[in-house]
Amino acid sequence: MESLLVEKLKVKDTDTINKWVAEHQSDLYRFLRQLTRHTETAEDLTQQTFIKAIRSVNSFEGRCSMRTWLHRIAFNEYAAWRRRHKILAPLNPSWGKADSNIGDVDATEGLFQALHRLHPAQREAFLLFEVQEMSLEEISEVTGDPVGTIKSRLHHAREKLRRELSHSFQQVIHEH
Amino acid sequence: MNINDKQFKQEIEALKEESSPSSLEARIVNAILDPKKNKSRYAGRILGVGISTLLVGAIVFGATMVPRVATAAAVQQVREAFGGVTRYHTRTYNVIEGRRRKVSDSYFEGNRRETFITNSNGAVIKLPEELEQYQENFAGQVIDLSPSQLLDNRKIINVMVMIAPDSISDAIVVDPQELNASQETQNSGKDKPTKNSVNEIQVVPAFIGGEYGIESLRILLKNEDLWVIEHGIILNGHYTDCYELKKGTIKFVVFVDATSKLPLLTRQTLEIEGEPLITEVEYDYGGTLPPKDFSVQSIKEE
Repeated sequence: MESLLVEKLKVKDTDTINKWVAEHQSDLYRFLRQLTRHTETAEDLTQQTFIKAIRSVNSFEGRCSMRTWLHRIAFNEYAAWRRRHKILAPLNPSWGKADSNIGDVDATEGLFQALHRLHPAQREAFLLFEVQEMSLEEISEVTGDPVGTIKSRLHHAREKLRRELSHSFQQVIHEH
Repeated sequence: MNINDKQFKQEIEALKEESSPSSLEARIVNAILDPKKNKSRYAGRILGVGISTLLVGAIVFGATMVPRVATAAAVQQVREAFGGVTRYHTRTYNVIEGRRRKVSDSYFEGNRRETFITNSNGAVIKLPEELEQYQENFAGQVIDLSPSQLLDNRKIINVMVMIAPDSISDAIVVDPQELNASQETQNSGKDKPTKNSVNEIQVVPAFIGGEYGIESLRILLKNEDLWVIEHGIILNGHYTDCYELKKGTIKFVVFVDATSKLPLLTRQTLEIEGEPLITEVEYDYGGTLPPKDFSVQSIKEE
């Protein structure tokens, strides 16, 4: 099934591209948005992911699903962005905006904030597993890390998040 | 009270509800189907980001802390990008409770720099030469932070320098026990530093923003011949960007370059009390020089 999709993507069949983008873009955007904490960056990286994917669709061998493959590209785009972003971080006038955009997700403020106090590798594993609902093997495919490492990161991420959220809950209770 | 499984799941489910903007899909499809358009859009974007990166590098890092070889390259790139511009002005604000307070103006011309800071009394003073010199010479040297170099509501409790972990990506989140163990090995002099070990990493405090105050640390990582810069602090054991700081005690873990040929690897942990500041920086390039009457000026709030 995916081989047919790949063939159509290679010839840039418009309908296929439309469906392909529609099927995956929200998923990838959410992943990138939660990793980058910045709406516009996430949009750009999502777009870049699709462009990279379409350019290298010939190299898609079907060893993993299209979704996993796209996540791997997205993850690499994010990793490249993060390297660049760190150089800019404290001095770039836009980083304050990233902070304010956290407010976009009021409903999940507690968890969202707590997520970003995690080590990046733990955050990535947590988002891929819990939010993107990938299997450990798929995450391994995306990040290039061994399954055991991912398990460990997930464990530590959950523990830390639980601790932080429990702390927030207690604060809320005390305040009321 | 601990969060239970159900509550935890509910929090995660809420994260899944984040949706993409409705315009994104069409934008992506257009970008794929119209590579020419896409190319120009990205060319502009990359140039924009690249220039600001270069400028930041040249203005702040290049002029102050980055080793000379990196400085020259960064400055050269900026000159090329801006057709020979060599003068810059940066203005730094701290943002406290939504209000911006100007705290410093720095003027750069060639290798010369003058910085004016707003101190805690609201007066603008020129950064003392010795501190400028201190910053200039900082890369590759032992970090020596004396409390007198910090002001008012910030108080250094103690300072500790730790050596770097094995991997650059983990350099900013480390287990102090592991570090201590590694440090003992390093100090023993029996083992050569390994790749990506302490000899390739150094950390300097960032003097951006607050009144001499250290708001973040700049971690300089040497990867082959390229120096890259990481920022961050460790807050309650977690890596965080400086703008995520909350009230409370902040612990800084400092890495120091072991190739500096200076006695080092003293162990220090820096804790600062007080409310961290959030800093914004504005850039202005193209020939601004310090006004002659700039030395005294009252605080400005916007």
